[in-house]
Amino acid sequence: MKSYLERWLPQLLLAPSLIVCLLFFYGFMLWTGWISLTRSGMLPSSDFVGLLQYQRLFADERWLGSLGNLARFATLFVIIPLVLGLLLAILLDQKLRAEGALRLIYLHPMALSLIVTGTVWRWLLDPQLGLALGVRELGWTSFRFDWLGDDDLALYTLVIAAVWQISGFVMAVFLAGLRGVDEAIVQAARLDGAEGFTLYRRILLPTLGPSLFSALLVLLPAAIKSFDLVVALTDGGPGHASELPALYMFQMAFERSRLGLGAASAMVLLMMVLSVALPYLYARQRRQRRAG
Amino acid sequence: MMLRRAGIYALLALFAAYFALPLLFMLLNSFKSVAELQRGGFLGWPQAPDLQAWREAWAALGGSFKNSLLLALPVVALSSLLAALNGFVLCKLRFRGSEAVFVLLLVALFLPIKVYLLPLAISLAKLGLAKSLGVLIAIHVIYSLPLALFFRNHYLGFPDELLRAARVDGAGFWALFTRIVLPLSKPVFVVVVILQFTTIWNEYLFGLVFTDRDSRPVTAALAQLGASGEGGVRQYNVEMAAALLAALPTLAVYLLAGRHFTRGLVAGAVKG
Amino acid sequence: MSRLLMALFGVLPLLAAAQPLDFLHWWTSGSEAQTLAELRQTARAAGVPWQESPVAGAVNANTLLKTRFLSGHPPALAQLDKAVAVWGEAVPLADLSEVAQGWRQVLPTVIAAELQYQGRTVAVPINVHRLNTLWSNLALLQRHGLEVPRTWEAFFAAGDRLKAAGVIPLAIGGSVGQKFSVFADVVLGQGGPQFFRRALVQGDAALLAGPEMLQMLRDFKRVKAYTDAGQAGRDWSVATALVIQGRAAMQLTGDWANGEFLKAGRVAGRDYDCTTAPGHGALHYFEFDRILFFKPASAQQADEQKRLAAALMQPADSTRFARIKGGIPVRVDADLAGFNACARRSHQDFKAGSANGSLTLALGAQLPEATHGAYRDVISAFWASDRMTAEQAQQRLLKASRVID
Repeated sequence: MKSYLERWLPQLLLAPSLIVCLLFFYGFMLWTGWISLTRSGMLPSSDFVGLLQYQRLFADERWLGSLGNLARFATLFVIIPLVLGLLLAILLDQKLRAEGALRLIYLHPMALSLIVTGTVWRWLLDPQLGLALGVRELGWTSFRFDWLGDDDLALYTLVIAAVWQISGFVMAVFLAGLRGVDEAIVQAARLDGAEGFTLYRRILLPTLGPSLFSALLVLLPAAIKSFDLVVALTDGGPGHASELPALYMFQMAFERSRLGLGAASAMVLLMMVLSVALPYLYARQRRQRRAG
Repeated sequence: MMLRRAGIYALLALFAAYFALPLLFMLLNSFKSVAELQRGGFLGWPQAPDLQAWREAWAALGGSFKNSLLLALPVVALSSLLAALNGFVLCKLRFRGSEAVFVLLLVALFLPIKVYLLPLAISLAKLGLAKSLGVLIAIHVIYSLPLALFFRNHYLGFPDELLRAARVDGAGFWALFTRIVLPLSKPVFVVVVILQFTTIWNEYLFGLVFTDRDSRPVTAALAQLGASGEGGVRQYNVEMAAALLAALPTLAVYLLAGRHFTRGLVAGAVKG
Repeated sequence: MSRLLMALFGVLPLLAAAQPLDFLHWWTSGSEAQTLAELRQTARAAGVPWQESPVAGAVNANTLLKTRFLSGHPPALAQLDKAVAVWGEAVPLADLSEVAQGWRQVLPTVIAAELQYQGRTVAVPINVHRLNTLWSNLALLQRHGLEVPRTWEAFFAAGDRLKAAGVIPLAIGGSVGQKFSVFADVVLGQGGPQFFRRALVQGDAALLAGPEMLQMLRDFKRVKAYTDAGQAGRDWSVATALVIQGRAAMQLTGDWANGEFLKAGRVAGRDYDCTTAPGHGALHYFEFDRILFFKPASAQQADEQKRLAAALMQPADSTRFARIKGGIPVRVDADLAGFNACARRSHQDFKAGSANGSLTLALGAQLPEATHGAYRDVISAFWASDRMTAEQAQQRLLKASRVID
């Protein structure tokens, strides 16, 4: 009896969570998929219309624009915090006296909700009243920072605020990774003559694989789910220049009484994620099969 | 050597400015009056600093703090422990289909929770459940299941010899998990707790929908302040004071958790 | 579509027998909260048990309303900012016809019609806000030898002169609503209420695709040149502050701006003026606050709802709501004692418009959300983009008019 339990232990332990996950994440996703095939307006309906909502979706310039924006935003939102976070982690790893205070300063933005982050940065980046005004008053009278009102550059204000919010966290993840390396290994390397830059490059950075994965686990979903920040900072504006898919989805479903269309956009987001996750899974399985 | 130190400090100070500026900004502006803000004074010192905004912010938010704590603490505790367990099982107990489960959780991480608002509301009705803090806690714990991936990621680095050695010593699964694995998971716990606490504390839409007025969390109350359409005047000073108030607990979490980063992983016990 | 809901909904009536009327609203701050206090008072005076579900932000409130219907605990009343039909098609509504019999005499036809769904009265009006006001800083205009422009040509001419003198001709906020207001003002000012109704409300393709609409779109975009770069993300009240301070000369926004002028101690007719938008003459374009009554859960609730509706429409109460909120009373027979000059003028135009049929209700209150939203998307994108031509905007507008779900 005991060995039977032991054999099936993993499945037994995971089963409840797995069932719940399947139901609440994927079961509901199936429901959303069903809605995307109906003429649902303000509330769900069972009026089947086939792929009509998807046709409408991809005929909407606003949606297509948001997809392009997501590509640009996500790329920067992943790369910049990784680089900045790593840099700060390495700098802070130097056992400085001000470490505690600095760490809090870098990390605290994460404590603020995205709405607050968006609102504060909207003020700071205000072309007339924000930092630009401060710079002008300091003497550089022709300085302008009109990104918020600029069709092409508004998206990058989102990047500025988002990077500000999350880089500290990425730094913390990397710092934990760096500090987690066994002291014995580090001492051994030092005895061998490795110093500073080489020490990092050869010994410490390679151990950051898991930390990098953790950071990506936070960054990538955050980029796709970005909603509150967009609403608070630019509201998708000017026009729809800085709109992201999550905003489109919410607006269509809840503000425009176009639940079917909103559901279709959610399904498209899901398919986009799957289109990256499935090849990843496939690659992992092939690697494992080859190795084992 | 001195130059290098100076250089490092300079760089750090520069970044510190980037990170600290907005908060200073918020602080300054929370002491101004609405009239002063409208006159265009976002930058600059408050001319006649007063605590009015803070008083109003507390009046609006004070009651909800308790609700947020009652929500965040259980959720964080439950979801992180559950995630540790699931992550460990997923990682170290080889079984058929573990890859599939991994991908299921991975993809779930990317799905925006707002999508589930309506189906949840309908399910609530079908199940005959009333809105309450308990329901909200359950919902958040459920949608935090993908956190297991963080723990799984961390446990991948655990050498199997350690676990096998413990088994040989006669440790059953639970002893293994609670006595050996959990204590070694501190860094991940710190990361996950920070992430979870912040996410749950700052989440407002579900907090608004699945609780009634008396059990609303702080951020729902915060959203109350910030929202006003054509016809209402936004009181930025109160909003800023309120945002700072609302952020105090999370800031406290960082203050405390931050210290744990310096202690590092006691992996020495494993290698040595 | 709503059969699912009707079924869900049918279960509840037994539970709600002794419960107070739950009112879901977004009037959580400022003058709106004060108005709510007045509503509360009226309800108490009428002996109607009353409870509130405040949700800040109309979007959040509407979302919450939908989820409450889906989860089976709908409120008895809710603040409404959409066409009555939008909710009528989805959920069961109350029938207030019994107490609404005298209303047709004291309410403009446009409003009375919008309170009805399938022949039954289902909503109660609270307050009217005029949308097509042109606020101007008189001192500033006079200093530049200008009068308040009454036509769009005069507006552009004044704009040129002001711009040359380094003044912001038109202060505007960052929200889509502000831009859409300007567009509506242009259409009404150049095409009149009939054109507005046929083109935008009824979606007449010939009018939408025609040369007049094209010119209106061009003029709409032209207005942008007279606004300043700081409009991104700017709250409407900050724009009004610019006019009050004399940094900007004019603003096109609703009558709620009046409160800002009064708070700053400005005097109408001397420091500032509240005329109608260029080309509007005495046209009254408005939005009105209203409460939608949902199907009561019991006979007792039905009775309470009717009592409440009657109480809310009493002349004294109705007038009081408008005065606190900063708009004008819904009743054409209201006594305007205690209202300022701008409000009085507004109510005069309101009555006249009702009499001669030119009274025009806001698009948002007449169109389905999808269509209204699609129009706003087009206008918002057109204003923002330097690359979109008026022809392209027109094509998109035409497409938007056909969005139905």
